Amino acid sequence: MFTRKPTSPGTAGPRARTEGGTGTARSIATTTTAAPRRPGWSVRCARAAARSAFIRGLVGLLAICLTDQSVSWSGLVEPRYLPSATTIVARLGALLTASRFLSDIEYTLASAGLAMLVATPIAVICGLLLGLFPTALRATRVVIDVLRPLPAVAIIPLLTLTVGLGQTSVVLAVAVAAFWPILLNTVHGVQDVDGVALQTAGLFGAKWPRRVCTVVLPSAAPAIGAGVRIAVSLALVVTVAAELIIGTTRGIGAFILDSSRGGFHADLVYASVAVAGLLGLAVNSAATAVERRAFPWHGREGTS
Amino acid sequence: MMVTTARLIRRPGLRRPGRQVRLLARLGKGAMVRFGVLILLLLAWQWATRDAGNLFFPSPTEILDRILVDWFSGPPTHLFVTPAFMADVAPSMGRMLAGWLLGSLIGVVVGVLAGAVRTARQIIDPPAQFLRALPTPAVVPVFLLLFGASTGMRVALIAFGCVWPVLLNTMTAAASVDPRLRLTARALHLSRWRQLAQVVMPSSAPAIAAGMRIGLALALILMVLSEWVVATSGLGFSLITAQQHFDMTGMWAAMVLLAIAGYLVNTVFLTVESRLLSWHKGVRGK
Repeated sequence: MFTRKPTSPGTAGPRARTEGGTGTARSIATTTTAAPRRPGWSVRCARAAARSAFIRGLVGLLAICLTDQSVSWSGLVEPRYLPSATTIVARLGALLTASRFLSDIEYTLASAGLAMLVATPIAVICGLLLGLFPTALRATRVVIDVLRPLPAVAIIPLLTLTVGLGQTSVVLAVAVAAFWPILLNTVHGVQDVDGVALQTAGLFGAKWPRRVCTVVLPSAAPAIGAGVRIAVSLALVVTVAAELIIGTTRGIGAFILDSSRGGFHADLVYASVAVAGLLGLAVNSAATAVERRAFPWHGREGTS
Repeated sequence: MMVTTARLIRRPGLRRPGRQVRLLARLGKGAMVRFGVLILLLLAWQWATRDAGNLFFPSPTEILDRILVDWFSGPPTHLFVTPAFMADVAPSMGRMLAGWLLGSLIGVVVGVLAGAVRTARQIIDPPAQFLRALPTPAVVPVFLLLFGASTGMRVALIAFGCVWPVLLNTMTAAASVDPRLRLTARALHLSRWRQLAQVVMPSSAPAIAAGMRIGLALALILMVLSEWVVATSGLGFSLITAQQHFDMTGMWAAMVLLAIAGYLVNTVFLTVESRLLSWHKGVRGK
């Protein structure tokens, strides 16, 4: 997969990109602008395809709204529990200009970001060590396999009792959740490093630290990036979840909890849940875009 | 990789011990490497909590004791499980598996059908991404309103969580079936259903399995979450009641049992997956 030269990380990108160009609109557009043959046409085509995909996506989102609207018109569910889509969208607009809610969003993003800052370096370092030393991996395999399926949600009761009800508990729970995908992706990335490249670096007299920096890290970088992307989207969801469960005073989760407590303001609940979902969507697409820009030679993997 | 090279290297000149002895030695060494760290960690934990008397961190033996007393001290006629096990653990696991299977089924069916049509794919993708990104605890009140505090609500919630990764993975895989396979199937005049069943399904099976594995992890989370609200039994219920009653050992016991359950379910799934998909060269452990 990686046809990169270990010593020149900058030069191999475009070449490998043209070799392994997968069918995404952006990669078609970028590769063909470099080619001499009718660039304007293909770029226009890619843009038109992207536009129609966008419109169809909007149709899908509208379908959800329409379903909700018709349910509320037909009166199947009490509007106190399921308000109409127009009410929710109106409430959404009002929320996004309210300074309290904006500071809640900011708080949630800060918690998630802090958790990522804690989890990423630890996970990458652990992943490097486990990937480089197969014995260490075999020795810790059982521990990892037992700890990984344990949901981050399940350790929240312990955290609330030992650490407290504040932001620290949220950040710790999120960091635990974000740790695993980065760790496992790093291990896989390091294991997939081309053995010949490593031996070549060894023949040139590179010592271990240097081999790790110039060979292992660059060629494992796309896998690590994919792990971080998965972890970022996960972190946001877990942050809101943890805020809800722990019952913090600030954050989107706290807002949802507040509006569902005092007499259940259904429109507020749905609007803030929708904001959380849209935020997740935005973070995921941003992370995907950054990943594609940073590692263009790496084919896009499944949506997981 | 390491194992195969170790097997290939033969040390000449050494008199090799008997076959069985060698096998036992290898198994013993493998087990020591595999479980050594776990045992060391447990011993360290035991030693650290031995006489510290920390309220929040009971020793492993206390936790194990509690698990055995609470859940595995029943009569032999009931396979040693207690009534509490039948009331808490078994229904929880049943709901989890039911919700997971239901969600996976819907995800695979919709994903395979939608994967064949580009417009359907583009319409379904954004709402699916959006619904997947919803924080799950926030969805719980909605399901509570729609279904009431019933078994159906919990199963539906778990299914709702599992649908999206399976659906998105299946859809992507069904859309990227090797065009040569697709053309061959058409050239052979296979009916649409046979094309789906014999070409699309098998070639997207690995992606479906990957989605189902993500779904399994989600199902465990949602199982715990769904039992935190208006429940009277279940593994998640016993976890949260123990926390509310400051019953530390009980809380740890529920957490450990949850971890063991997750480990077992995951291991069984991986075994079945590698057995069923052994024909596919991308199966794990390449």
